[in-house]
Amino acid sequence: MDAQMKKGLLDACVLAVLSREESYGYKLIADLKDIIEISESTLYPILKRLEVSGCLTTVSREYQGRTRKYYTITKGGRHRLADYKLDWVQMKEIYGKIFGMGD
Amino acid sequence: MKKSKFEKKLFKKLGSLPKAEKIKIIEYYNELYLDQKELGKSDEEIIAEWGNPSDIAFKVLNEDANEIELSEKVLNGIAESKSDKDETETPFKGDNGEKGRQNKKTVQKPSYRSNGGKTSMENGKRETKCISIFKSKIFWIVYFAGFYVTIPLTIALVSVALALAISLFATVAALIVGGAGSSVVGIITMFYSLNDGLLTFGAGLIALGAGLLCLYILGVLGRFFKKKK
Repeated sequence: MDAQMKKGLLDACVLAVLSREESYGYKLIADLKDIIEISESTLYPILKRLEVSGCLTTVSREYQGRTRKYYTITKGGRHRLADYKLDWVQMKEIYGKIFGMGD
Repeated sequence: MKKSKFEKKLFKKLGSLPKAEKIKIIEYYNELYLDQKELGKSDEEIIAEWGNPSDIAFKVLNEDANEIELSEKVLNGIAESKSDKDETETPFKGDNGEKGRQNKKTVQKPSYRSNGGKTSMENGKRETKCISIFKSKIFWIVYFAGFYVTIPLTIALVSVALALAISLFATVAALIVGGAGSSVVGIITMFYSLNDGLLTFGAGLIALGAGLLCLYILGVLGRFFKKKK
């Protein structure tokens, strides 16, 4: 898959997973690995980018005697996710027309 | 490779980043390490999955450089043109009081759309924005504040639209049903009076044809508006 396209897709995937429930690093990777190829080194920049753009917030909580960072989607993140869903509908239409794939 | 060695190497390779950012990255990997250790994996297994610290640092630094470059380009673009109306910034402005971060985040957002095909996607977003006006509280406050004007006006507009729609379909239905009926009656009448029968049959066919033509035009219009959405 094209790198640029995958970049946007990964953002959408992360937000989609977080829209169901808050999560932490390792769990996010585990959940996403079934859907799309992603590594630990790929996830960090995505989380950072989404946090800076206000799509998610982080909170550190104690877990079994250590601190674990949890990521939660924000209202802005939900808006962004809705935009991604809209993009998908339009992209599907465009691809259908160009490649004659139909619905 | 041991974890401590991995962390040292990674810290070194992240050279140009601020120290606080480097520490955040190390903490991120530390957390992943602890989670995977709980699953019973060894240091070597975990670090082998992560890959080379040089590659990891390259990804992080590359991502950072892209965003800084893009931020500068977009900021320059905004400075040159005051009429920049990127309304896609709107969803993030009032988000949980994070307006302080607005500059960087609104600058970054266009990068996710820079792959091409942006125009058609932006049209969709403009339509979403129109619908979102009805979701805003201010709209409804103003609407109900002037209820003595807005509510009757709304009722009148909805009634007119409904009346138009109903009358349109009723007319088409009447033409089709009436036309078919007249054609049948005309055929029967021909046995009694040929001229009258032919006249009735002909009028029925004209009405039926007009009705079917109107139905076809409505179908075409419906498909046209559906495609436009």
